[in-house]
Amino acid sequence: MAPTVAAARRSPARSAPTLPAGPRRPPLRVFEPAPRRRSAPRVVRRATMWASGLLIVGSLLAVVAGDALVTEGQIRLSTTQRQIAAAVASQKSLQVAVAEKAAPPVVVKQAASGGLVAPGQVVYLPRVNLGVPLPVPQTTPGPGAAAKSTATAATVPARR
Amino acid sequence: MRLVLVIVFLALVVQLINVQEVSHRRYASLSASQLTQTLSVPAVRGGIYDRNGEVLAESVTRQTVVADPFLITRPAAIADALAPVLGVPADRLRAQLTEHSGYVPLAHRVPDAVATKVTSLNLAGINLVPEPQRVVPDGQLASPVVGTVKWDGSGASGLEYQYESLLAGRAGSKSLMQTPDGVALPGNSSSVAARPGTGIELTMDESVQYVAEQALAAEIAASHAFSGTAVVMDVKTGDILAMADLQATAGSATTGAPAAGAAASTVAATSGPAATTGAAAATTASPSASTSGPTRVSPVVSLPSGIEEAPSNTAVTQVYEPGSVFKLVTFSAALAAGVITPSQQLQVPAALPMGTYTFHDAEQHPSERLSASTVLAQSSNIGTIEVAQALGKDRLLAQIGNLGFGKATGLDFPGESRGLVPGAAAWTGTSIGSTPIGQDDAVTAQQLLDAYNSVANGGVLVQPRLVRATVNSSGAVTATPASVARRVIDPATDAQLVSMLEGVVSSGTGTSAAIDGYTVAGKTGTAQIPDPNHLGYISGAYVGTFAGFAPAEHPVLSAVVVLDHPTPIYGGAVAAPVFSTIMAYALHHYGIPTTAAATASASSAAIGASGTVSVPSGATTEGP
Repeated sequence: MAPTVAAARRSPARSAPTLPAGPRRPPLRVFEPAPRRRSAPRVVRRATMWASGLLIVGSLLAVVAGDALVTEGQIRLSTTQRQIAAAVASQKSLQVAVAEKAAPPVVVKQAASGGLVAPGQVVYLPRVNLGVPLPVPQTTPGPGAAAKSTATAATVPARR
Repeated sequence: MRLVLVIVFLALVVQLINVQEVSHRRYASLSASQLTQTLSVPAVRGGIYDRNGEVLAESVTRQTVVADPFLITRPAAIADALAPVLGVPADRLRAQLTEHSGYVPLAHRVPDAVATKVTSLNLAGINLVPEPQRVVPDGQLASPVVGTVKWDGSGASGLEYQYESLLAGRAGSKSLMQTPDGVALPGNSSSVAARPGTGIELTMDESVQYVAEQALAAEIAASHAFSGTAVVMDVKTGDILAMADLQATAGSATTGAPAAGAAASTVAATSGPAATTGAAAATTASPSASTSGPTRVSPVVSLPSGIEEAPSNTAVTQVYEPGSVFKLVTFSAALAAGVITPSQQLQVPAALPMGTYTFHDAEQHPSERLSASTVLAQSSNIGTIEVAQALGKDRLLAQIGNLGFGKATGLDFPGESRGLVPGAAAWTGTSIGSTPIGQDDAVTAQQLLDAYNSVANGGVLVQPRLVRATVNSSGAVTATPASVARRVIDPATDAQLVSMLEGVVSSGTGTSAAIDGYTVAGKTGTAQIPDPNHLGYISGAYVGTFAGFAPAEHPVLSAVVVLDHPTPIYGGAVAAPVFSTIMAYALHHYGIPTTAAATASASSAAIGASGTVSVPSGATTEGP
């Protein structure tokens, strides 16, 4: 059924054109076509295409790698900051723990439990300049001291 | 149909332009507000240290256990798991875990061990939030001076309040994007770092403070006093080395302390925040405060039973009538004006009528002749009034102001009182009798000490100070400026005063202040206490005081001791021994050579060539 309709539609359009009467036109001449510009060899085109593709992919990979590096750095920084905060907190806690142990009431309590007592009276000796050698004490030998030594075999260290 | 499609398409285009171009800021901010969460990052509060770097107050980070009931599906099981760890009844936890809220604190500032256990339980909806806590490792030591903090960590009283801007630092913030279910989104976060607070290094010495409190507490208990104050000061620099403020526990059986709510004998002249926060300070800083409070006080108890730290620093915030210890003002003015000399003889009658009042000495005596030095040494009221009458009102009032009474000391402490000194306008017929003997004016213990310290310092009044340096978060120490000083007594008069004050301790009313090996100068005071409800004084109620310095030849340290309602009543009997105990320790602590050693230096240097031990010269210049 469809070919019949197509044939029916085609028939009126196929009438031969009538040429107008008049002077004859110069005959048509055939020109040689313009020489075609020679395109790059196929291999080069392919290489360029591959290079472009690789460049795009490489750039994308570089961006991804850079992003990963930055992220890793951020994680490291965050971890370090967390460690610093923890260390500072620990240092503070230890400092306070030391202060609690060194508090005067604690020291006094420990001293008392260890048997220490406050002196009833403090006797102060005059200050001595340690830069100046002490003088040799002036002693007076007792009677017969030179002849009789107090050292015994037990108090004199044995020489080896 | 086509028209409808075109209209719809145009509407979409218009809305698109509206969303993307016209109102994009509003929609962007709306989105950010839903996704972005800004967290406050608290700054670490600066510490408070003594002059040797010992910690008096420090902030540490503790963990607060917080629940998000919206994420909790099995509240009963979680409550049962948490109850033994937190030490909280399971029923209470169960109720908290079923609250209609996303943030329910279960336990504030738990110890590190508890926080670790909670973490190991790995319970959904249970989180740990860091929270700073103030720790006071020395227990209650010097708490009226150091002060306390509130729940939010800000200063409530004392130096914690006064130096709030320095100690607090500046909180930071952290903004981060997160999904509605709380998962943090990578990137797009911004943060402002918190600036840690700056610490302060006090002039106080932990050891001297401890000894001062112990000696004062023992005397309060022994004399059944209501309260007591002791302050130790470096003569040259004005550094406060110790500032003890103690009181008998209300209703204590071992002391004479009044029941809670009874009127104190000293006049509360505080006007600053310390007055309003004092009660809170006492509550928050009590040893029984749990570890979850804003301040964790060391459980070490250093004071004897029945004695506790005063709620505020009474040495600078409360005034009282000083009594005879104020006679220093009268004698310094009279000596400077040439009205008297130390050896000048005065006729001292048994009584001195003046208007409707008759003035007596503490002990009855017939009319007698006493030298000016003896009048001061024996603390004769009548003799002192005679000196004041010869001096005159104007010169007496001028010297009161000159020595710093009626003015702020410059200590930079909150709620400091300037004192109540009658001016010329309030002068009455009996003022010339009561003012020179310290029964008409009200002063703080610190003002008294400043006056005696100026005598010890060769007549130069040096402003007291409590803070000697600031310590930044890196530990760098920056010294505060030296105290301001001004001459208030000429050197010749000062030398005479020192000699007269030595006489008070060697042969006068202050013999109990003597210290073996050192010469001590000072003055006793025994003052009646004004009746707050009636004109006149409370019968049988006194305040005992001793103020002085040592060694008298080369003063290094000065101190004042005040006892409220003691028995016996005399300053020479109750305050002077405390002065002696504290001063003896401080002199030994700082290695101040004994007077005998200083005297021996000259003679030993002369005979040093003969082979005996020589004492280095200049050893007396050392101090704290």
